[in-house]
Amino acid sequence: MLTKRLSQCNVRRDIEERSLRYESHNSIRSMRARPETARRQGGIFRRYSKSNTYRMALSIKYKLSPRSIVHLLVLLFLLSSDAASQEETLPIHLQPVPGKMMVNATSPHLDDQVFGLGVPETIGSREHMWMANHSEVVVKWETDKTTGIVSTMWRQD
Amino acid sequence: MTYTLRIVPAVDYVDLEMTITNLSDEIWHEVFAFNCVSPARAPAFEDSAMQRTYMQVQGQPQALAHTTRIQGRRPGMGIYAVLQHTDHMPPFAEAFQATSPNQSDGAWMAKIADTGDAYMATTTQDALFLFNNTNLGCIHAAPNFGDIEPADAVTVSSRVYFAKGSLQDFIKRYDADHLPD
Repeated sequence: MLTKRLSQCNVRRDIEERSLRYESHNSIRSMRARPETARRQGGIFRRYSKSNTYRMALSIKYKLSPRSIVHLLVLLFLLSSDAASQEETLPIHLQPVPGKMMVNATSPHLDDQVFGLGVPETIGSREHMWMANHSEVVVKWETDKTTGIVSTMWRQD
Repeated sequence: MTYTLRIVPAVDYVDLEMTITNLSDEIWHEVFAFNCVSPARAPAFEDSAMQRTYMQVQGQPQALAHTTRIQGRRPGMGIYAVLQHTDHMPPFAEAFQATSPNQSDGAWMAKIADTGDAYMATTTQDALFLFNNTNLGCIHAAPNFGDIEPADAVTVSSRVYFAKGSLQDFIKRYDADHLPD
């Protein structure tokens, strides 16, 4: 989505090219004429060298048109609102404690504060002080990574 | 017995779906699950003075600081009977020797953050008793599974909130929410 929006943003790229040792055709001609010029002036031409002519980009400047600036602002707004809404809608993250009847619940809605769920600590009845206690039961948890649902099933004899 | 639990997360609450199956040859009465909800790493919900920890008394929220606490075997722990089950307190709850004379007519316990704009609350449709421990900051509303015949299974749901809002917001929401049977 980000890539698509970036491509929609009309950013005009101007590349300013300069040459380090760029010589125009005229300057090449004048250079080639140097031996003759030297002889005509009574001198001796000792060295002839030809400079390579190449172009090299010294700097790349990005210029934004007014329209592009508006698009960029809209893009930034959309991205920030997307992030905010995503944060609002993130569900509580459940993290079971392996082997124990305990699950940690992290709430993005409440600044990632972590709460503990003892589920349960004890199961009892009128006849039994407890039929299952957290210290006696070894729990195997399953987590559905798509939905975030955690589950367990265990037997106590 | 077998115990099945499914925890379904949402943005600001989780639903607990619990099933207990009686594999014995005797009937079990007033079966309960002692579910704990604690602010493990949620310092805003620290409230050892119980000024921001509430239960329902006569239809209104009441801070536990204004209830009579009975010093039991373990300091900081308090048991509150629920009005319709005062005659059926399980031996597990009695063993704490910390049952307050104040009774609740609700099935929830809630804590408000020190900022006043968020709450954690444990709720169920029918609580057998309520409990809190100021040492750990935890709150409990023990869901009542009723009587379970041999080979029978009973499923109960509870909802635990970790939400933004005031105490009044929580009560409105609790009243509006329909917990599944």
